Amino acid sequence: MRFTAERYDEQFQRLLLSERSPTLTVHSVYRRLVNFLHGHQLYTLSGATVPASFFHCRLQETIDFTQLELRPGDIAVLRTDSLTMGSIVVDLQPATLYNPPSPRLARGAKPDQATLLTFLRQSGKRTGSLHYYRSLHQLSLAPFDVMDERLRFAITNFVQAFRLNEGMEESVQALMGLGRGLTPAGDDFLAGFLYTRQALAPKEKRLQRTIQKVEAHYPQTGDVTRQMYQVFLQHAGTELHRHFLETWFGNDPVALWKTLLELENLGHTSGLDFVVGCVAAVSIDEKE
Amino acid sequence: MHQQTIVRKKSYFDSVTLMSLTAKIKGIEGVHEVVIAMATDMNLDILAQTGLLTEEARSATPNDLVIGLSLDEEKQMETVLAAIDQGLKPVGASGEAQQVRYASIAAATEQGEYNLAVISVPGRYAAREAMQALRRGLHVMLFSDNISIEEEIQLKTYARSKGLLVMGPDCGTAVLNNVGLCFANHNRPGSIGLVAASGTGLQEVLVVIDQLGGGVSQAIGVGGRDLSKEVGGIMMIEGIQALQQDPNTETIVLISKPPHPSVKAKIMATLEQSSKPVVLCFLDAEPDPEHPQYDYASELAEAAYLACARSGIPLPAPDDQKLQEAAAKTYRFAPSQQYLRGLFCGGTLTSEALSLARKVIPIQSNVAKKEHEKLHDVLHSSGHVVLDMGDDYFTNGKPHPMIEPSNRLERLLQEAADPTVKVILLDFEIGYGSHADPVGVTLPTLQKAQQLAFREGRELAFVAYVQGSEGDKQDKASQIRRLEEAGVLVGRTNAETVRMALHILTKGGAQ
Repeated sequence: MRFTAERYDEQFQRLLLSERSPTLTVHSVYRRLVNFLHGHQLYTLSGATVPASFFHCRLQETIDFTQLELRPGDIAVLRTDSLTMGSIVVDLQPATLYNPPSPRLARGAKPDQATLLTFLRQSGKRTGSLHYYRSLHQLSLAPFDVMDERLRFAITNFVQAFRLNEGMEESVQALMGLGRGLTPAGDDFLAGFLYTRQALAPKEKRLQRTIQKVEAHYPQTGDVTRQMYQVFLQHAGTELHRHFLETWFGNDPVALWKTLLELENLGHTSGLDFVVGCVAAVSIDEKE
Repeated sequence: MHQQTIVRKKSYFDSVTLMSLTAKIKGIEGVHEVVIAMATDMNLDILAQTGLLTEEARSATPNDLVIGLSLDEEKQMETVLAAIDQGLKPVGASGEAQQVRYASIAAATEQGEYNLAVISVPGRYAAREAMQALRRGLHVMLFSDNISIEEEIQLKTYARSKGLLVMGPDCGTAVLNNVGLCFANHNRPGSIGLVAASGTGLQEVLVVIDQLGGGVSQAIGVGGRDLSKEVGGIMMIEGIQALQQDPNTETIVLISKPPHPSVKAKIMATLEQSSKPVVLCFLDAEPDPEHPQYDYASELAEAAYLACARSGIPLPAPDDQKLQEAAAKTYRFAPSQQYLRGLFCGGTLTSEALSLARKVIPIQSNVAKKEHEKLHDVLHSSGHVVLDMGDDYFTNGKPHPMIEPSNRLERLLQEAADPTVKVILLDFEIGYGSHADPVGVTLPTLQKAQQLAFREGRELAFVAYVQGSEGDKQDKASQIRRLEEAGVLVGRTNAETVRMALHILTKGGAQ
């Protein structure tokens, strides 16, 4: 069975170039994607409908991977032109590299807060970071649980610590790994926050200190989250994350709304947690 | 108090599974505390705070699942763990959750925790089953038709006294707390709440809201007779009050054919209690000058636009791209070809087509209320006709054409054989409950119809609308693409599609 790769990201390309024919182990098989382990690093091979992500190679085809002869523990061999898993071969040669450079935003640039507020106010999704956002803007609170409440406190403390440039260690530690799912809400929030601060004020010292604290606490969180941080802390992201910042600081509310709809569909709440992180990052300058 | 903490190594679950499972387990009587999460340090800290952190959990990694339980009694543990296992089971290959079968409503309410019954049984049994459900405290969605108006009044009056909803009879669509019932489309959760006495009309507003990037909090169907003088809008009023109280609803939309004046007065009085913006879409009705505070839509898609605008959603500027497409397309019509034939599956879509077409051409329909527009022989068309093929006359003993379209396919060939037919207008409904591939099942007949016309030196203009959301399982984009590849012009809303058909029909002057 033969498939064709459409594109891969820089992290996937590095693996491709890192050594001669590295072997990967199938970690998990889902309908739309397969995860592989190489050392402690997780790599993803997905069908065409999965949004571009990190450590990711996307195929031209749409496939139900659960229908293929693939099981956790199976071995895959990566060569410069192909990825082979038993009788399944993925041609890598036509794939193109993507890694959009992240935008630099002028300090003092004004984002479209009104459209964003409308979107977040109306979103029917429930996540702890939205709980924080809603309470900040005195909006009605959706039903929440102990995890949401904890996240609200952790975010509030982190934002305060960053603003005052003290107590960073504890506040970062309190956020990382907090929440459910593959990339917990606390980590998605932090990723959004750091991505935006890097776009606004890449040289500020408190940002660099925060990044160091995050890196120091990697063991607190899971494999998938760690690789997400590795990308965002290098000020890289996906086209979608970049597009969000561009449209948020642009003059086209319709385009911003469309980007927000796409982010809303990223993971269960990952996209929205990321957005709330971006909002908090901008609020640092507004309040100062 | 009995506590237990379990670690499942290398078990990944997405947050929606864990969140909904946590909520479900917490709802079981006797469950004092529950934490189901990936074993990150922060989540273990929550376990520690709730007194559920064990040595085993302490050594778990962020790639492991941890389940902490605190129960009133030890004997409950087995049941609760079984419920957790059930919740963590992967869904079937079809993506559908497992179903439990019960022999009766009584058995279902005794053995499970439910709050809604969807009744779809032959009409003569439906009222009895609905009343059983209401007596057991369940809201009712009454998909069945052929229920007398007396029974409907009895059911709705009783439901109102119990604070319950009766959606129907003959109610095809509802969305409650983001769950679509019967014929429903994939919708983004949001803040627009709807009450509708119209199935495909409600679907039309829902899918256009989705196209525009809006989201829906609730969509309550009430059945086509609810706004009649006899029923008095009992459930429309209950629905409005429910949306007024719903914290997730910011904008209210009402959809119906024009209500009886006495019912309209009650509805307006109920709306006056509401501080939320309201959009009224009473098809064919004029704006009410006594209530200028509301937005009035004369078309279904317009109701969706107004609701999104009221909700603050930035909207793209309207364009006439599709009308230009219709204007640009050329056909080899024979001089005999003069008439429009609309073969619809959706009743309200037919009504909307009739409403738009009558402004341009003399037209008849089986949904017409005006005597001169009534189609008396529904089996044979003459002149301009729009036909609701989901009407009781066509569905008596047969499936609805949204589910199984063979009736419409036969009619399509019949219309194609008529040398006076110029434009054939079709709707395709996708989403839950509809045919798995409505376009695919129609295309061979459509091609056969065109060949039939070609053989006689004619060409038919086919114009179609695919009513659905991008997230619907039938893949809306592919349904549209296949129609376009077959030479069919496809509109983005029902109203736009009707206008495209009228444009082709009257290019060179109305007939």
